[in-house]
Amino acid sequence: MKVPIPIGVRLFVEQCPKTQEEEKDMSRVLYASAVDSLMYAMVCTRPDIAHEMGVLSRFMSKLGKEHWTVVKQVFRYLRGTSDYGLCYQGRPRLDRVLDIHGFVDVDWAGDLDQRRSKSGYVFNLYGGAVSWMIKKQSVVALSTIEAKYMVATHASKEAIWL
Amino acid sequence: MLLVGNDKEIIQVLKTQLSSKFDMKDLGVANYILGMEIIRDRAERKLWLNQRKYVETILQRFYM
Repeated sequence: MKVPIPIGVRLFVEQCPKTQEEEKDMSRVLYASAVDSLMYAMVCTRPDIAHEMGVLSRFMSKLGKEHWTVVKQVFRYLRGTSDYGLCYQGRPRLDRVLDIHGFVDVDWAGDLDQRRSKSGYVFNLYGGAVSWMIKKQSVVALSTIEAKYMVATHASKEAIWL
Repeated sequence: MLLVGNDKEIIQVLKTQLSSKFDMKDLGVANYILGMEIIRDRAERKLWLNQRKYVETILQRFYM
């Protein structure tokens, strides 16, 4: 698999179990501990699954079959890409400078339940990511520009610290 | 313990000082730290970090 979640798969609260039976079924899966295990990989060397982890962690208390399916897809993605990691490379002409590049993006109204947008940024040091984050914005952005200003603020705060 | 520095001699001095005070072993160049594998290519000046082992462990843990 090339991407952790196939394009078009969306997760929302409506997918949580409706009947007691369904709920009982879902209580048997080790969702929280699976998400926790994936989270550790994300935090250390796998920024590529950061978006998925952000989405999945929202359904810890009420999960449906769809949510668990996505967890399995993330596992399958990791199985195929287990040797992926971060690569840092020094370049002679950059020996005297600190080679930092930052990137930001936003998923406007990506959260289907609250219509909040998701901010994301990544900072690369000598070609490898050293700091990354995906976060649901705390207020509803009415336009893509508004959402982008918010992510730019998040990223600038991090950049000042770096 | 992981020692990092851009001067080999200073690292060596620190190592000798530490081992005179504490009982410790020198495991040489680091290959693993916190479950992350470190691969280096000195000539290309590249350094890779991956968690292949960890991913395999969690795949097994959840029967995936």
